[in-house]
Amino acid sequence: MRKLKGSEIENFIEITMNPLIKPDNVLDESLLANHIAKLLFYSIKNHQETYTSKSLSIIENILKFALKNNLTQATRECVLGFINEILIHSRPKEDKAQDEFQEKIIISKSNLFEHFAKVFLQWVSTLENVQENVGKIELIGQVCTEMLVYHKGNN
Amino acid sequence: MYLIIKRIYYLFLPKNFIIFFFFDSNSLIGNLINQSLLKSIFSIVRELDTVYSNSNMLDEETASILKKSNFTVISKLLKYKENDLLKEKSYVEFLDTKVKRGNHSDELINFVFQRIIEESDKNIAHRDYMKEEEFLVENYTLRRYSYDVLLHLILQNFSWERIITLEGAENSTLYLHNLYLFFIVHKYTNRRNKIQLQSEKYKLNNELVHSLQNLMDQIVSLPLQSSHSMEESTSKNMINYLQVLLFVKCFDLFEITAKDRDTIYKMFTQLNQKLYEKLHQEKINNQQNGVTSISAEKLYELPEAMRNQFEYEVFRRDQVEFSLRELLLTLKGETLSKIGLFSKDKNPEELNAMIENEFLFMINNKNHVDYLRSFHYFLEEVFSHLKANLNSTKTSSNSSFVVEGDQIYLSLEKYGKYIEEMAINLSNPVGSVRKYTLEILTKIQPHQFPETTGKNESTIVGTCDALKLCLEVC
Repeated sequence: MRKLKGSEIENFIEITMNPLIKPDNVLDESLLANHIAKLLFYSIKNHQETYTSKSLSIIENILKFALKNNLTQATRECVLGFINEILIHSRPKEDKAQDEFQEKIIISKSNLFEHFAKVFLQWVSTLENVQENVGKIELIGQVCTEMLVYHKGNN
Repeated sequence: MYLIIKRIYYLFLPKNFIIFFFFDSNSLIGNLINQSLLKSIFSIVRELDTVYSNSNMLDEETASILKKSNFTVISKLLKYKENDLLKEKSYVEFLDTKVKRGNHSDELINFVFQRIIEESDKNIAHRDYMKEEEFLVENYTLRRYSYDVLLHLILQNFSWERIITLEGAENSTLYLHNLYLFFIVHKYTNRRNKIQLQSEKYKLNNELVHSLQNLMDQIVSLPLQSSHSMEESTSKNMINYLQVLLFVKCFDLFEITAKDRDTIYKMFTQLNQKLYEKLHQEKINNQQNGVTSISAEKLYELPEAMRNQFEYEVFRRDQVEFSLRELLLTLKGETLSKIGLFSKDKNPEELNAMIENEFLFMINNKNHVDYLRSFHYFLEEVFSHLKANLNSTKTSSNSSFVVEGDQIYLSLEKYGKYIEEMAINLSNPVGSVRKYTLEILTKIQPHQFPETTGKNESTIVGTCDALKLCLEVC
């Protein structure tokens, strides 16, 4: 994904996440959601310039995809899974061999979630049909809760 | 050097990027939610509040779902980021208006309670290594403002009447549940203080006292033998039982008037006496087989968190049936520990007779952890009163306690014969049984052990000190 141009990201996310909104009886939805979440996260993680503007653009497109389309259980699981991957993989006090790499994630984690919050805030403030978007609002609440619960807010 | 190189490297990034990433890593380690992120999360909370508060297009169910979702975030903010919230006046104003002083249903209050003290939070540091008690302390100890919010929520719908008659409660068990959860929070957060109920509506009237008395009588009259089927009425009986148990527990929470205090003391003494007679007689008759029990399934009708809590304090974990005898013992213990609070109204002779009587009962039930704990609290209260009046505490050869210097003990002459029997408990597999047995044993006057070493004869003091030492060494 790191070799994509900025203009190609949106399409790429559409293609990757599309199976989540079109249930397929052959595939286990939960398994699919889990795998796509990992795929998306590790595609950013493998990037040498972790959380660059391109990474943020990818994340923003993931969130926008979830908020724009019909929210299925699989999409919900995928978004929460993606957020948990970021939380889990940026523990402080990793051993030294990982320091250089981990540090880049730790440095930007707070700002990264702030970016999440801003995307959500923008969406909520322009929301017109609340009744039809209850699930998405709940998802936003869940994401905020995940951030706060993580390591007791690390306070 | 590394940091300098790193910063130079960042200088070559685009301008907007430098602002975004120019942080010293150490400043962010262990601080995921910084003020800026907190501000964004709080803005979402505010925005969502506007969505469900002002939209006339929403049906009641949708508004309730959205409110719950938002209250989940608010609860976690209170639990984990209270200090940061208090720094910003506008946050506090919002929480005061929307949460603390809002008019909420029992269901929503229950929801907030559960989210604030939720045991299932992931990532609690060292959770796997915590002892049960440590984990409870971690979960139920709140900071000042969060405690204040919960206190406001619980007092919003509180009245003795609601506990005793359950009148006006949307869901009777839910209301008891909220009160019980607050009781636990208070126990871990603000134990030393009592809540003053000054309003008239918080006073006990004769009608309420009569209802409470009826409730207590119903509990005491429940059959201990299984010849009576309790299946159909189990839920009702369980709720009655929990009502009485909660009333007794909550007595410790609130500061009440002198008149109410006297009334309650009489009721507690009567209840204790009735339970004493019922349980003691049953023990003498050795009716161990076929005791009335309540199946675990019936408990599942109670809200989950309440069940979990009572499993900790009342019912043993992994138990599928609960003996009514055990439940009554717990109630008796709870009542006895509250009677201890009235020690200052009694003279040493009365206390002497009470301790003697209750000690014998405790010996007969020495394996019941809740009873041991309650008996220990009872002794603590009595002794703290006696200690405060050390000079006027006279002891005779027939007395239950002796004064040695500035210490008060249970008389060795009277209670020494129970030491061996109690000491068996020190090998009990349940830690709390060992702990409270030891606490009780250390209240018995130390025995003088003569010891001869060569020509010099010396005396070692301490039956219980020796036991304590042995236990610590083990």
